[in-house]
Amino acid sequence: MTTALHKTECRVIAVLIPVVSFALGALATAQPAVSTPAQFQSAAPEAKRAFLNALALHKASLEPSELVNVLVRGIQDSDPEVRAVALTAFASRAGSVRFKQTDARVQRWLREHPALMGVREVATAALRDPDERVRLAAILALGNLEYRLGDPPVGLRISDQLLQRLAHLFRSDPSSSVRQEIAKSFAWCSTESSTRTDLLLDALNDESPAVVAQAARGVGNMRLPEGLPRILNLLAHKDRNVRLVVAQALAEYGTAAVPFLGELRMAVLSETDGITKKTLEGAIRVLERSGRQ
Amino acid sequence: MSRRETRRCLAGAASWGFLTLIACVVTPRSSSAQEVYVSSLIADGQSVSGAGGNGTSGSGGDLWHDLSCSGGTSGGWEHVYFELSLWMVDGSQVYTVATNSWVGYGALQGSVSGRVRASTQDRELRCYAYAQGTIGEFDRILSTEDRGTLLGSGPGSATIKVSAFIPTEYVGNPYNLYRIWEGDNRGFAYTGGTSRTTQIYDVFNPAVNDADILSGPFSNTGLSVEYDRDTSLTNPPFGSIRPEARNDWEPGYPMKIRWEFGDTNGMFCTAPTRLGASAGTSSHRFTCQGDATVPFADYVPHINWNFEFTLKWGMNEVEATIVGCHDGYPSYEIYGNGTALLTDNATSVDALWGTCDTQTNVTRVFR
Repeated sequence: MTTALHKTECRVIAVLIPVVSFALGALATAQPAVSTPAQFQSAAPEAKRAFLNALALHKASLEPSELVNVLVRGIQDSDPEVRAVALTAFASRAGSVRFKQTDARVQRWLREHPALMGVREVATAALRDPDERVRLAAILALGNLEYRLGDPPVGLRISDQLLQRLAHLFRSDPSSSVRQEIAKSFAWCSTESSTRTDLLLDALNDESPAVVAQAARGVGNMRLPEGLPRILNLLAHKDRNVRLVVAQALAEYGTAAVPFLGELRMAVLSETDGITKKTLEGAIRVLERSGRQ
Repeated sequence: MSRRETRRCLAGAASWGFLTLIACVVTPRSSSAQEVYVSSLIADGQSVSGAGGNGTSGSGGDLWHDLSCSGGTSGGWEHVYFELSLWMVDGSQVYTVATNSWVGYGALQGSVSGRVRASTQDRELRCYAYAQGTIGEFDRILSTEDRGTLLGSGPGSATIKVSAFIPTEYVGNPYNLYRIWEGDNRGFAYTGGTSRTTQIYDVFNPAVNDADILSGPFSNTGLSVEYDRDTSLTNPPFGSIRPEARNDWEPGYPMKIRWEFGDTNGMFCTAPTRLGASAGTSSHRFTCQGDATVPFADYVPHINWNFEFTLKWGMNEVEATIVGCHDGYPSYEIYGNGTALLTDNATSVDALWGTCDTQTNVTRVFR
């Protein structure tokens, strides 16, 4: 009887040993789920990105001070992907009420926004990051941080200080993606500033067609008188999207562009892209109506 | 085989030469298979005994197939010349991959081996064993063979297509309640319809090609269009986009407000890196990634994707493993030579704020 019992115990132990070993091994190798700043600091880059994405998508929440703590640690991380995701999460939280203005979101934004202002300097330093993805995300973060509740969600009123920082970055950054993002933000923002107009006019000469197109959009949005002859020259640009946007920008000018209807008609004759041609013809009709009024 | 039959075969061999030899080959004699036999026909470590196939010779690439066959004679031979040949039949051509012969008595065993380049086509392998000598008082010529198929290494190239598209006809501009953005209004499809972004990359099969890229990578973006909601929909704020709005090319309010092509600056694919050949397959790896702007608004998130492709070519197919990530919005699809490799549905526009937050790890096969 004793012997039989002993054999059963041995069998149980023999079964338990590998199970327990496996469980201990799994515990040792599993990445802890991040939910606090302390856990964030020691987490693997994948876990950091996952948590920052959860913050960006409003699937995780922290007290404002903890949120700032995590964002700052993320923006200063050694991994550029973590830095970029942290800045995007910062942009998402700072501009969350631009995107969706539910009561709950507004209340959370009101609690978080004063604390997020404390991240501004860290995000500004990221404009000098060697990785262009980080610089791009820093631009988005700093722009969204300037949103004020009650303002229109598109066409932000950007401070001249930020405009100057971005203009400086535009003139020195080798990345066309970064320059395009800056030109786009200048094209759409609602700040009346010589910094903005000077940059948009300069950007019309950029080597990247994507930058030129954004600048042309901005020049048209602002109806800059000095920009009109400049964008007329772009009707012959080699990039169809530049020509497409220029046609729409000229229509934005209204009566000021009516004297240049002849140039537009010439452009229609030489246009080879179907959509651009229809857009040029549409712009001509808009200007003809402006001329009659 | 009886003594008479064997001599007939010998006489035939003398009279008809090669033709008679072929006749002997295609009718292996099971009754005498113990006296001369083929014991194995191996390609890349695997037995390939079975029906043969046709094809063309390979001419490049990093994959070679290691072939071998073995055979022998039984112990009854008093004196025997034994020859073992490994042939590859490629279309109408018969190539000798390796051959060897032995002279002795009794049970002889031998093997031959060789290497051939990979091909996109199936090819037939033949291991032919031939013995000539005396058993007892009789002169004998006996032969037998085994046939197998060396499978092709997959297609000559693969067209990889990565697209992101908005499945609905339109989506509300999250920054402006009164504006809508035109969508692609389609489900997952290899051809037809529009996309927000498309990357097309034609890569060569590294098993059979020294070059890596057939064409591309090509990046493209669809036309982004913003409409005024209330003057463009059939039943605002619901309904479909009216035909008049679609055909409105006059910039500004009403209907179609503005439009532009997205830029392709942030979209690229790396050149394939060869991972080498292993177990009858050849692999290479490349990455396609992108970062595309959302138009018509300032300081808005981008759409991001990053896919690492590992393509393993062999056994008449391509095994594609795709590891990476993409935003939760819009929908993403990847095809290999028209076969769907990844189809991920869009979640909500809110998901744009994620950065490559949807993880991907799939393995699919295409031809």
